[in-house]
Amino acid sequence: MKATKDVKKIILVEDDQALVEMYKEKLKLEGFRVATVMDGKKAIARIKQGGDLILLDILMPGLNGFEVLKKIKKNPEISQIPVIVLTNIGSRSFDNDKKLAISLGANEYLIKALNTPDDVVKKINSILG
Amino acid sequence: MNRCLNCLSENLISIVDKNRVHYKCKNCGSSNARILDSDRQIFSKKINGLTAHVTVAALVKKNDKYLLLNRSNFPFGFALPTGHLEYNETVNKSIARELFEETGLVINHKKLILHETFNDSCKNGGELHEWYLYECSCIGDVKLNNESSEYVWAAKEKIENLDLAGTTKYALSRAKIIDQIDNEDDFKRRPSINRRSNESQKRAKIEQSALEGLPIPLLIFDKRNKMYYSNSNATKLLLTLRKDETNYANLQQMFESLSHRVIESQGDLSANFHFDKDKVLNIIASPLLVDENICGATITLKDVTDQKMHEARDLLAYKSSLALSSHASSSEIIKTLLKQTLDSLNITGCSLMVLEKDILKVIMRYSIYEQKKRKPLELKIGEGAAGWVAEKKTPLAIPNTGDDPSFIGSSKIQEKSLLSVPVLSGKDILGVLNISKKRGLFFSEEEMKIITTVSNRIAIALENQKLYQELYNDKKTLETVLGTSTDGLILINRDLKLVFANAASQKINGLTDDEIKNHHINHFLAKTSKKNTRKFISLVDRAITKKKRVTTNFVSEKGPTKIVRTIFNPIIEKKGYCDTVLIGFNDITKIKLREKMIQKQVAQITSLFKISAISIENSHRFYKQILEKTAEITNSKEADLFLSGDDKTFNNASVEEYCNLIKLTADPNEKSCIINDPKSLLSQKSGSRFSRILAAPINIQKKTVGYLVVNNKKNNYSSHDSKLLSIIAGRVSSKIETDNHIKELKSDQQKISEIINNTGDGILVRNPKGEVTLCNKAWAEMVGFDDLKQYDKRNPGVDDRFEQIKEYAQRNQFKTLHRRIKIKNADGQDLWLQITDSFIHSTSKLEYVISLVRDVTREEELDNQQKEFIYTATHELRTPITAIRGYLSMILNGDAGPVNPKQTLYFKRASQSTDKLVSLVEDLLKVARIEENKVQFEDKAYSAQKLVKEVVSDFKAKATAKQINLDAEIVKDFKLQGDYEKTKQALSNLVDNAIKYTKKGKVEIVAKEKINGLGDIQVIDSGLGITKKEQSFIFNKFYRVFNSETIKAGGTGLGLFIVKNLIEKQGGRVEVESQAGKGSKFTLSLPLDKK
Repeated sequence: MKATKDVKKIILVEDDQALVEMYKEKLKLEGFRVATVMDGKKAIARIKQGGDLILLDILMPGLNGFEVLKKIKKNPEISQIPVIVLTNIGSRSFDNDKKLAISLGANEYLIKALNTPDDVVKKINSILG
Repeated sequence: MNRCLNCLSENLISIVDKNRVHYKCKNCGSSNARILDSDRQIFSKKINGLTAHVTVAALVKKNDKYLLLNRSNFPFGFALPTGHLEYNETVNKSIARELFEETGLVINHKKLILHETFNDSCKNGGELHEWYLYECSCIGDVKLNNESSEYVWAAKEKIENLDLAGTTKYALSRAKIIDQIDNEDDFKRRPSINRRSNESQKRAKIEQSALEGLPIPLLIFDKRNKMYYSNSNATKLLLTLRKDETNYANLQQMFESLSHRVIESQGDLSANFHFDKDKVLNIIASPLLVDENICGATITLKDVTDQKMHEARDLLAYKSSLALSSHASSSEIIKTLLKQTLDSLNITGCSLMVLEKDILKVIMRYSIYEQKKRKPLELKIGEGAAGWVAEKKTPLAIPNTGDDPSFIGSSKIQEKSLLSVPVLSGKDILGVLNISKKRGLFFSEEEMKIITTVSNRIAIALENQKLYQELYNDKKTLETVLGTSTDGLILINRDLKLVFANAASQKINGLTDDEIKNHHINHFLAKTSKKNTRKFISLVDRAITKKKRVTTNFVSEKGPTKIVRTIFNPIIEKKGYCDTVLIGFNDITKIKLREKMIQKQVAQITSLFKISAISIENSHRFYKQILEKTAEITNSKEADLFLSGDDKTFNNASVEEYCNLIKLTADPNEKSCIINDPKSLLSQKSGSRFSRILAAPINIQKKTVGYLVVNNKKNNYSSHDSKLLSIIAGRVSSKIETDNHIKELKSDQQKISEIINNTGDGILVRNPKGEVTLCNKAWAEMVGFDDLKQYDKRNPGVDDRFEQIKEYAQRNQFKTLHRRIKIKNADGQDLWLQITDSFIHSTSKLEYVISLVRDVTREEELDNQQKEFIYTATHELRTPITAIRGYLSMILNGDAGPVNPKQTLYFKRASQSTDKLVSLVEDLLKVARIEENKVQFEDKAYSAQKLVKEVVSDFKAKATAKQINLDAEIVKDFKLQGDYEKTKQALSNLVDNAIKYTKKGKVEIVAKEKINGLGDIQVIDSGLGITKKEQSFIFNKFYRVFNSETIKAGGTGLGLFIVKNLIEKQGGRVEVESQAGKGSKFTLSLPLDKK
């Protein structure tokens, strides 16, 4: 358990309720604060309220993850916040989606089905140092 | 009477040139002298009863110069409207008209068109002196170029009064004309031309200039016998003579005396004045009469020195020419000449040595009385008189031969005065003429000249002798040739008398040489019809006058046909005269008859050719034309064709009408039959409209199917007609056969087209340009055309990449090409077509492209739906799996609190199954991506060693867990080219399989560089192995080898499919070597780094 003053805030942008619950549970267990947005359109407003890292799904109602990513990177207020794209689109070894996400400024691209919540936490920690 | 206008000599030669007769004067050589011949009397009748001929002259004044135009000055054929002439005097108008027509001037609407170049030709030609002009009358004036008034004169000429003093009269009348020009009426009032007054200043000037132009030296003396005028020629002459003062004074005295005498006597006088030994002048004095008043005398001068000198020679010349012209032999001529020389000169001897040309060898000697042949005597160059003369070629006079030591035989021969003269022909010496006189006597200059003349004559005689011999030889040769010629040849002269006829021509007429020679041609043509004789004579005339070869055929008018080809060949002498015609005869009757026969045959063959040229495309027209031509060729009234079986008949006749006749006589299966008398056969059936019939069977495969029949020829049908008809019948047979073949072909074609049209697959045939040459209904329906004709030939709707496909196939030498394309049909809907293009070549050239087109739209749609479904399904599966897997991992991780060992076991099993599900979904996704062609490949160089090491490291744990030894062997690292991740995926799949299907032992990865530009990565295991049969299927999608072992090992059946696709799409290959139970070796061959 990390010290309270060091508690990092993770913004989870995810539309699937089951997965929101799961990642929220895990991240809290790992000592993060979690803010959840289930709609791409609302994501930017929420991110502007502050956070240390964004977990971003791609397939969402409203605005898709790529569009959200673009807006984040265009907005200087929030563009510094690291983004991990966490999605079930694409496959491990050959997908353009990963390339696209990285080229848009994502720090990492993780496929949900292939990464356990533990794997995700490891990635977050490695990014946040 | 014909006379030369120049010298009035009657000695004329006629020259025919371009249908006109010209006359050349033998005496003076004048070639363009006007001839006064009888046909000109046409004018004499019209001119006031004067017994005069009219010749024409025109005097034109321009720029103060007078130009005398005569007929000869007007070149024939001129016509340029540079001036015109108008008549003032009505009296002479008609005469003028004719005169000017005669002169060549053209009268057109009362205007004479006069070519300006007359003036130039008159000025420059200097021919005026050739012309005599006696009496003139003005007939009108000419305006040239509207510049100044000009005058044209016509002159009448009195033949009777012509004499040697003509020139004087010419000058006079000319002066008169000039006066008249100025003012005709005024002239009459004035007594003489020498009266000078102020008014006539201008006139005098004119007079002078006219007289100046005279080519003859002319002097005019007044009544007091003083010289009044001398023209430029006379002045020039007198100035030369004045150098000898004494003689000149004598000459002047002579002039005065002559002037005095002619004025007194009013008659002409002529005298010779020996100016000195070298010059003799002939002086002609005439009284100068104007209007019959004596007003002086004219004197003309003529240098007759040459004439005088020639006189003595002329005598000899005359006699020798008589001898020459009397066909005497040259030796006679020479003897005559020598004798005449002896007679006319005071000489004692005269002899001639004839030398052989070039070698100075005496071949003949003539003396006056005898002709001796002695031993050949060689003249020594420069020795003796003869030797000297022969060498120097100049005469030599030796006053006394006794004094000359070089003279040969001086001791034997009497001493004498000797003159040796060379006999020369050009530069060649022919002989030496020796003349002797008594010792010491000289030869006078005159004698020398005469002897020279004699030597010239002898030269001519000797030359002639040579020439004669040559001609004689030529003649003999020619006669021999003519005699042996099979063609008849006759020579005929202008008077239509036969000069020569060869043996063949004598044979033709059955006449002997004597009967023919010198007889009129009528004698020769006695057996010829009058018409032909006339034609013959007119052609002789034509050949002579036109000097052109004429060829014609004479056809006998009576008796058996005889055609004689006759050639009239005028014999033209060197000077252009033609007096004789050589006529050749050749009996060409047989040739002509044969020609006719050949022509007839050619006509028939041509007709047959025409028949073969009749197009068989249109049957109706074919039969119609065949029948027309058949009737034409066989000269028949009608031609009919009837064919058994389908009751086809053409033209008028019914089958029965013919059949009865043909059946009666013909063997229908063999040859054509001729019935030249059908009525006799049909005696019981009267009223047959046929007079003659010829029938030829139409045979097809040895069976008679009909007849080609012609009827009613004017005369009997011959076997030749029969042959012709058979040929035509053969043509008809072949037409019928062709028709049958076409029918068969058409039915075959119909069958094929039915098959094509009823096939479900579209068929499209295109030529190399891409134009549709054939297509079927199925194709039309496929692309949405209701009617086959609707489509655009250039753009048949299948694809717009025909050119690329064609090139692609040609480049790769593909004979067939399979492709699937998406197009929009006529309704604008998407259409998927599976096309198989077959490229059909004939001798390496592309002939056409057959495309089999199958509509696979539905198939494609289903396929796409399936792919879409798999993609969506797998993707949708991922979310719940993520949750299951996530929670399981959290539980096992202890995130949800402690788990007892049994629970842990169960959750682990659940987790393992979930992992399998995840990898299955993963594989399905990959396959879906591959099939959608959505996988993108990088093209970068990477290290083979790194790749292998990473894979080994990834699978090390898994291998160890199964107690399998996983090893890598790379002797030397190398670079591969392509997509690292995709290759790693493929290699991983192979290693995964190897571990999966190996119970015990090892899995080895061997990487090595090859020479062929590829690098191999091999995965070798000691596992289950694959049977040969199964090896061909293992790369198929979802294929799994089914046995207890493999089922236990599990798998999706997608791994190798993915490997194959990933490798091949990078340009690589996957191969397998395996034996059941002994392990497998999978080899990935990948392109090496290009650098």
